[in-house]
Amino acid sequence: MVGIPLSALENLMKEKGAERVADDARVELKKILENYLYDLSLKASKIASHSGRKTINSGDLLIAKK
Amino acid sequence: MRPEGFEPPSVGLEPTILPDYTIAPILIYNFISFLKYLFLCFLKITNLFKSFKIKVYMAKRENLLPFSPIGALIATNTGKRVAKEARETATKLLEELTEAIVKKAILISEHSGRKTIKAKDINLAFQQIKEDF
Repeated sequence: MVGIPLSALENLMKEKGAERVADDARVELKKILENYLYDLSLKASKIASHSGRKTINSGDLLIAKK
Repeated sequence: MRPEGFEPPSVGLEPTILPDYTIAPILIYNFISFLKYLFLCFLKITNLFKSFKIKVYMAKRENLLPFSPIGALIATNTGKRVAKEARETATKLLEELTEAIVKKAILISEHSGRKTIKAKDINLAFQQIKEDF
């Protein structure tokens, strides 16, 4: 199973202030985060190929977010 | 030419006899190490080690999400190589997004009289925050 682990998401949500977390909530959050990452990475890969690189740098992601 | 009285060092399995002045420091060294051992035993018995206990402070983790699955997701989506710093920034961005979603979802769930956060709370929270990210 490829993806962000659910237990890590639950720990993160509890650190941010959530008291109790339902099982469906973390699955929903995982879906949202992966969709967000998919759009972000596609933009970043276009920026990287535009500047003639084969690897994605941290700057590409920061520009893609803006 | 060799100087007189010089003998080459013995090589191989030839038996050698050490002179007396070489044995004395070895005996002294052994005696000192034995004293050290006795002293350490004394310390252990009297439980003085408690005062010499070394405290090790572990570095606190900044990220709660793991790097490698996020880097693997980017690599499988785009088919490109991912730099080490890129996946660290990606986790940072995702944690910022989750912080914004969860803070909104807590307000929504408390308003509707619940303590647990459900899937619909997160879905509604994301729809309202989506434009900022």
